Order: sequence, then structure tokens, then C-alpha cells
Amino acid sequence: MYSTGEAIAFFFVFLSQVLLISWFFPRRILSGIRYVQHNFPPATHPKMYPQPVERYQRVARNFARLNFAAVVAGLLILAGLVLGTFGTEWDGAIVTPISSSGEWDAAIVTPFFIVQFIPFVYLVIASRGHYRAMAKAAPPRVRTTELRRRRFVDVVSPPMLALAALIYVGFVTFILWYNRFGFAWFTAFWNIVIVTAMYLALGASVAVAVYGRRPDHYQAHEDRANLIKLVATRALALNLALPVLTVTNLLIKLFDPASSCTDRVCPDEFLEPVIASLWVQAGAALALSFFNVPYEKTNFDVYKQDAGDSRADASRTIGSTHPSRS
Amino acid sequence: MKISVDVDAPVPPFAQLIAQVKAAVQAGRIRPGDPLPSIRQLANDLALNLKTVAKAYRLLERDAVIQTRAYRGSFIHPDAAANCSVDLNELANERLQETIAELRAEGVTDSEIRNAFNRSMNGSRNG
Repeated sequence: MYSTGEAIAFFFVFLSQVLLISWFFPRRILSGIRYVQHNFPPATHPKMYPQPVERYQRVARNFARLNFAAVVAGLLILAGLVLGTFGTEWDGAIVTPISSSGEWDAAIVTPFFIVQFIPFVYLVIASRGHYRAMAKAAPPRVRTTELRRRRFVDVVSPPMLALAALIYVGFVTFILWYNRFGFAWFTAFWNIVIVTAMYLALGASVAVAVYGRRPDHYQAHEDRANLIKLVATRALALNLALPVLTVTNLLIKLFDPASSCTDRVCPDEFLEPVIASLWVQAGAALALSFFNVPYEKTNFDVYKQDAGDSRADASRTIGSTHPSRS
Repeated sequence: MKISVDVDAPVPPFAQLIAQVKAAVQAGRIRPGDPLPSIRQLANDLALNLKTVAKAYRLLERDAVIQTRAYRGSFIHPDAAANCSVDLNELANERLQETIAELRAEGVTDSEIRNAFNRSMNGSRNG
């Protein structure tokens, strides 16, 4: 089913998928969590921890364990594939209830990618509790913000929005054109639905960040502005990349380097598992960049016990701005 | 430009907002035509009630410091700098103090002034 060269290429790319998504990215996220917990502990920054500190530690521990389990599972799968390919007469086909074709992209890459995302979904769900508790916390006595209208186009430049729209139109046109080459309507429909849903979901997430409620009463307004910009930039990058990655994937299939079907390599299958794995790695790198918060530039002083309660701070701002009484 | 509100200060939040917007206009930190945040945005950002911010905007509009354009939001009024120096609260205060001083000079007691003031206010509200 797969040539030796193709199998070896896949082993390396799959190893990279295992390590990148379940080891490298989680390690960066965990080091960020540890940096914050170590440098800004509950004793000095109590307002940052609306829930018991043990809960945060447990979430970080569970996240690390889930990722470790994913790495072990990935390495076991890889070991099984290597042994099966080189140690036996096995042709590489893995037929499961979700992949009747037996191809590695459908049987391994996609299901394992979903498994790899479970720890991140867990982290997002666990942080919802934190943000809910933050929103319920009493706002500080002195509240500061920017007297400036926040608009969608402030965080996403109109030319980039136009580019995203152009890419979307180009993507839909390409999918419809590609259909002439025997691409199933069902697959075309789902490609368009997935990309459209991503556009809408990411657009909605930026709109919520720009126009929605403040998730954290204590957060410095500069940090909030930076975070909104970060969310918008990464959502836009993901929106631009997703159709491009999908089109690239389809173009590689269309202009397949293998011109004929030999006894082991068929044009339809050539390098597909490798491309699928690279595709999910690129997608994961973009999606997980949302977790990449620049903690070094964040103002953590706002979470100190007496932050926002200083009468001196307030009177300095308010007293100095009374209009002259002429 | 930053804006701060101290919810425990003796000055109510809406008055703090008005004072800071006027001060920013007078200092040239915001200029005529500059857009202001929407009422909802400011209320969300400062964790204030929508009505508090709406009241501040209404009073600023009354003083011609800001102007609201339908579907476009609120902007600094072209004559905001000149209008900021007119403090209607201070004007009402001065006029009342003058009237009270005149009435006292004519021998009217404080309680009579108070009753007359209340009657006049109720009369003007009902009339």
C-alpha cells in the first residue's frame, strides 16, 4: 500500500506531529503558567486567583498528564507502524470503523490529532471557570479605561479584511473548479462549510473581544488592548491560512508527482498521510498561538491586594481634571 | 486618553465622567470631531451601569460638549472647547446664592426660602 520511502517520510512527519502538538506547545504553555504562578503568587497577587490555588495547580498537572499520555500513545503507534512495516509482510492498511480505506491519514493522522487536542480543550474548559469567577469578583474601586472608541477595523486593518474576503472567494471558486476533476460534491460541500464556519467563529471571537464585556475587571486596559489585538491578529492569520492550506493540499493531490499506479504506490495515495500530518501541524501551530500570551509585558501589579483601591490614585486623576470655573 | 472613575468618591461617577471629558477637551487631549466610545463600551470597561454613562453623555450633549449622530455614535462638538467653560451647575449655584442673599436681606427666613423653593420646583414640574 505504501512504498518504503513514503513510509519512512511519514514516520518522521508523524513523530514531529506527536512531539510538536503534545510536547513542544504544551511545554511552552506550562512554562507560562509556572512563570506566572512563581513570580506572581496568590500571597502577593490575590486578585488573580479567584479560585483556590490548588485548583490551578491541579489543572496544570492534569494538562501535563494528558499530554504525556498523548506522547506515549503516539510513540506506541509509531513503534507499531515501524515494526509492522519493516518486521512483517504487512502492507500498511489499517481498516477501522472510521477508515474503511485503510490509509494512514484517515486511520492515524486525523483521529490522533483529535486525541492530541483533548488536553487543550480541557484547558479551555478549565479556564472558563476561572474567567467566570473573575467576572463575579467585585470590580476595583478605581476603574480606568481609554476614552477611545474601539472598532473592529482598529484591530484588523481594512486591507487585511479585504484580503481575507478575497481568499475566501478564491477558495470557494477553487473548490467549485476542482469539482470538475471528480472531487465529490459531498467533500466540496464540507470543505466550504468548514472554512465558512471557521471564518464565522473566528470573526465572532474577535467581535466578542472588541465589543464584549470585560472578562477581567482588574486587567490593565493596555493589556486588554494588546490581548484584543493578539486575538484579532491570530484569528486573521488562521482565517487566511486555513483556505490556503486546504487549497495547497488539494493542488498537491491534483498535480501528483506519481504519474502512474505501480503495484505499491497509487497516485491518489502518494504522500497523502505526510501531507495530512503537515497540514494538521500547521493548523495546530496557528490555533495554539492563541495560548501564547506575552506574560513578560503584562502588568501584574493590578492584581495586588491594594491595587485599584488607592484613594490617592483616584484623586490624582479626578481632582486634576475638574474644569476651571470661570 | 485615560479616564478614571472612583465609585467611592463623594463626586458621583457621572459627574466624574463629565469633568474628565471637559478637562480633556480644554487641555486639547481630545479635539472636535473625535469619536467617543459608545455608552455600552464605556459602561462595560468601567463596570458602571449603562444609565450612569448615558446620563453623563446626555448632560455633555446638553452642554454642547459632545454631539450624537444617529447610527454613528457620539463625537466631540465643534465648539466643545468654548462650551466647556460654561458650567451650568455653577451658573445655577451662583444665581440661587444671589437670590438667597437678596431674600435674606429683605428679612425672609431660611425655612421660608426653602419652602418657597420647594413650592416653585413642584409648581414648575407640575406646570
